[in-house]
Amino acid sequence: MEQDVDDKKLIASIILLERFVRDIYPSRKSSAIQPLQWSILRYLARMPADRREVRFIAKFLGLTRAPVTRAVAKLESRTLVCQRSNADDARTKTIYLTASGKTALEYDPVIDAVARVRTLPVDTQREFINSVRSIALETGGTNNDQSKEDIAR
Amino acid sequence: MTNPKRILLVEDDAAVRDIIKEFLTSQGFGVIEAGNVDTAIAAISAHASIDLAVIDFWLEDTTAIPIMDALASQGTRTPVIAISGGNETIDMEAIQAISDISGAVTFLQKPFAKEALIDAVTAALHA
Repeated sequence: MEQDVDDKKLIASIILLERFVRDIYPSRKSSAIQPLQWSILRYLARMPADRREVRFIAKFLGLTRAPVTRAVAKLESRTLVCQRSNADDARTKTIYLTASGKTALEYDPVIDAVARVRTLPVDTQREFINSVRSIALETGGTNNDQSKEDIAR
Repeated sequence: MTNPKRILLVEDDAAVRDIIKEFLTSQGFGVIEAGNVDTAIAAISAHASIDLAVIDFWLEDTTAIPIMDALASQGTRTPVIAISGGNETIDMEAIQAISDISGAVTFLQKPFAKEALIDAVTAALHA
């Protein structure tokens, strides 16, 4: 008969996972690029130009437009992105990564986290990947709008 | 005359599937269509050569992961373009990440332009 996993062990695992994720961001100072801003930079690097608008980014991240607008403004003030009005609709703006933004992505904290996981045996890496996928799919815990809005502030 | 590249199209919304099928056919591709996981897996078994798959990640109340696993198990490295219009419980960033883990080479957020699809198909076939 399969035995339940001890709550204490699950709690300890989540604490370690939370620490791991927290540790990959080198600084929590307001001057540092924040997690939401990193998500936006990654989005801009991957998506085609016709998708690089605040409304699409907000939908992709499961957020309202307000926190995304604020984050984009912050990135623009740091010259990591720039915005240009669209030729066919001046009310909307397309957001572009600048050269500085592309350089910043070379130091994406996720790259450091990947390097740490890469030090594990291959089987353990695969177990990690499958476990994370199962957590995302089966607990449905990634679309809690209020908590994400709080994080995005 | 060369045989057209064959694309497995898996989409549970028949109207969307018809639009994508018509477009891909007009671009010279052969399209094998499926509306759910079981039909898709049967199609993979029945067709020895599938050059590319365009798969809606959410099919009714399940995911397309078994289809991607079935393609991977054939050992032919068939590229997969995952598409999704979102889900009530998981945001698009997470769906894209899950698609990446499951072996997709590209992720397209619905609705997408036909140009975006053909760009993704061309890139995947020449990767």
